[in-house]
Order: sequence, then C-alpha cells, then structure tokens
Amino acid sequence: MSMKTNLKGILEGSGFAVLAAAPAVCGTDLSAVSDFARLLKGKVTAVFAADNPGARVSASALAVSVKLLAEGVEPVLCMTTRDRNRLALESDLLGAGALGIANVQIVNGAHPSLGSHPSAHRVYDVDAVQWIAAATRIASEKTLISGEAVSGDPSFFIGAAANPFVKTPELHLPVLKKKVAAGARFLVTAPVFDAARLATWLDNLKKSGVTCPVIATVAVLPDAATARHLARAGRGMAIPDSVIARIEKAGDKSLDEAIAVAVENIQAVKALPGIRGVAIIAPGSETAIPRVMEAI
Amino acid sequence: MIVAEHKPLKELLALVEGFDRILMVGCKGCVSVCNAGGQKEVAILAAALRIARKRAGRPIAIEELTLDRQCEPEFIEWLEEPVKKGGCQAVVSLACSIGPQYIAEAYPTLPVLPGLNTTFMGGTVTHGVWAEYCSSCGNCGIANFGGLCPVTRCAKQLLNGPCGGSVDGFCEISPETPCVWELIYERLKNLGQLDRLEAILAPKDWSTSLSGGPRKIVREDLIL
Repeated sequence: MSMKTNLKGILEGSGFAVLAAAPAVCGTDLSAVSDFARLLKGKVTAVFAADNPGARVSASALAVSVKLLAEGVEPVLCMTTRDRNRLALESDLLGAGALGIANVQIVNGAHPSLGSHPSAHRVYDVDAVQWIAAATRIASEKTLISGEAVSGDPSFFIGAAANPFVKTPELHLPVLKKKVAAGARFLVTAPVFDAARLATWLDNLKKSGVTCPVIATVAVLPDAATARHLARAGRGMAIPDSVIARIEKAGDKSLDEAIAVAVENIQAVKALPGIRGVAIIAPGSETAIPRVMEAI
Repeated sequence: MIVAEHKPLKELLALVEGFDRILMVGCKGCVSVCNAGGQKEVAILAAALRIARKRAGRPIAIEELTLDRQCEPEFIEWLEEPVKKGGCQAVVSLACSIGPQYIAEAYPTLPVLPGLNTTFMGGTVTHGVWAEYCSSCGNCGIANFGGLCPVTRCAKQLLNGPCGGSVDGFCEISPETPCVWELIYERLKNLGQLDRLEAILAPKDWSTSLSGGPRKIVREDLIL
C-alpha cells in the first residue's frame, strides 16, 4: 500500500506546495506547536518537524509530528544522521510509520560543534545518501540495512536537502543525483535570498539529469545580528549584505522588513521553472508566517 | 605517527599533588618526533614542575628517564631499577596513552599518570604543525576517494560527497579546516576518476573500528 500524503499528491501532480517549519521547542510544553498548527491548518500542505535544528536540542521531531497530526496538520518528519546510528534511525522510522507519518526529510544536519552541545560525540554512522537509500528500502523491500525483514506495510515519501549556493556545483550536483537515485522524491533548498543564483542552479540541476521537484526555502530573518551571524557562520547560508542592511535600518520594525524580504523572495522564486513549492521558516517568529503566505 | 601534546602545567600539577618523589618517563618514538614526550620535553617539563612546586613551598624530586619506546614490554622492563632504587611514589609518562597503560600493567600498585593528551594519528604539515589523517577504522577505503580519507578528514565522515555546509572550499566547523571533499574532487579529476563521485557507497562496516570493541591482531607466524 502506498500512503497518500498531501505533499506527495501535490508534488506528483501539478500543484504548488506550501510548507512551513514548526517552532522548535526546547522543553516539554508543545502548546506552541499546537497553536502553530491551528494557525496554519488548511492553509499549508504540510509542516516540517525539525530534528534538533542547528544542532540545538528541541523536543523530538517525532513528538512534534504527532502533535501536528493531532491538530489535523500533515507533518514532514525531519531526520538528521548526526545524532543517531542506524539502529536508532531505523527504529524511529518504523515508529513514525506506525504512527501514520509518511513524509520524511533526510539531512546530514549541522555539525554538533555549531550547536548547543559542542562537546557531544557526533554519530554519522550513515550519511544522508545512505539513509535515504535505507529508508527507501524499508518501504520498497521491507528490509532493514541488516537485511532483517520488517512487518507491516511501511510507506514513506522522502525528501532531501540541497544547497544551491555552494561555489562548486560540479562537486555537489553528483551528491544530489545520488540522493534522488537513492529514493529522494523532492529536494528542499537552503534559504534563498538570491533568486537569480537559484535559477542558475536549477538550470544546472536540470542539465545534470535531476528532475525531481524542488521546494525553495524562504526565511524570515529574526534580526540583523542573527542574520549577520548566520551569514558568517559558514552554514551554507548565502545572505547578501544588502538584506542585512535593510533589516538593520528598519530598527524596531525589523520584523516587518524581514517579512517584506521573505515576501519578495517568494514572489521571485515561485515563478522559476522547477520550483514546485516553498518552505517558510521563521525561527522565533513563526506567527508571522501567515503574513508571508499572503504573497503566494 | 601518533601525535600528542602536553597536558597544561596546571593539570599536571594537580595530577602530581600529594607526591614528592616521582619518575618522569619519556618515549623516543612518535611523541619524540612531534616534540611532546622525548628526552628534551621530559627535561623541560620536569624543570617546570620542580620550579612550580618549589615556589609553592612543596618541592618535588623528579627523576628523568626516556625509553626507546613505551609500547613494547621489554623496554618497560628498564623501569625496574629506577622505580625500585628511586623509591618513586608515582610515574608520569610522557608517551602516548599506550605507555602509561603498559607501565600500569607492569606495576599494579604504582600510580601512573599521563603527562600528555594523545591527540590523533597524523603527520607533519610544516614545522610545528601536525594534522590528523587516519582514524584506524580497520578497513581502509581511501582507494574510493583518490587516496584521501573522508572518514577522518570530513567532520561528518560522509562517504557520498560533501554536505551543504562546505563553503569556499572549507568545512562548516571552521574556516581553517579544508573540506576534504574539495580535495577529493581535485584528486579524482587529476586521476580521471570523477565517475567515482557517482557511485552510491553503502553504509560502512564499523565493526572493524573501535565501535566493534577493543581490537587485537594475532600473527601466528610471528609468535615465538
């Protein structure tokens, strides 16, 4: 049986997906997630439940996904290969399948040294390509990496990460080809602030033979200082100085300006051939997401 | 070679607190090459400890000795005389952490203290600079990567290519750490093997690494 999800239906059809990222909560009170789900119910295709984003601890993506489901919002379970070995990943994926969670976004994740626990042991038992292949096989062949059989009827719709703003696409495109060959059915980009560079990358992607749907991430930057930090921190975030300057100049209206930037970015990316959806992230300002969505 | 560095003097002083007669043992192997635990470093470190303890009003007697190697039981036997004659209360080993463990096994009731932090298996980059090249995973696959090791030199030990955090040729963990995948790409290009980037490498078998538990090699042909 193939589990039908809103996201799968739209991306395999001809629609345009609208996704958002749920708040990452470092605690046991997930009411912010439920509130967020109620705010966006019926307005989004699905919502990402992040997995310790930025290598900072938050309540598990599985728990957040369950909260989203309970509010009638379709989750996208994010899984990094940073914190769990193959046993834990397989166990969590089977658990997700059992709970009715089918959309899965697989990433390597930011290195622990960049997050809240820089002294943590990093895992990376498998990499994102390997885990995409293994997760795909759990559904298609009903076997674990070990070859052991799994029961039930698992079905997943798997996505992968892509950074269009790397300076050596010839090195990074083969990885994306492998992610898709391994079973990824959509790619989610790093935050886009430069639609022209995204367009060039989309063109290169097409030329390299990768045809799967691309979802462009659009970020509402919290403030100029954070933007500057993200731009500097070497996390693949290409944030132009002009954008940071705009937000800084706005002073106490910086959130309004950040929303305006996000709206402009959505308008710029949604017309690009190959872009099949947008994912809106607004760390710490999630309630601003409906205002950004008005641009779609 | 095994690359190591001194523990900070403050930490060493705390380790030898409570002792007033110790033996400091260097090693002429790897740690001598990386200027951390050879004869010269034993002399410098022993002098530093003596001065610090004298200033604190608690002088310490330190006998110095440097063995050819501390990772061979027959060289450890050379400690017999100085340990007994000197009446030392503890031994500070300036070898990689193999040394203090061998000494501990040879002298079950003698406190053995590490003077070095054993850092990695690596090589000299330039005078005074060493870098890590191998994690001894026990199943070398560098032929897949143009002869370079992503298990050790990629912060995420990715086997199927770089992550999106690789920026301008450097790793997301530090602008001073080269992205090994950039180097692998150049090597494969020079070798005419870029097609290797297209192959999906399966999850690695880590059972040959430390994940499989402490390892041992038995060469029957060499056992006397």
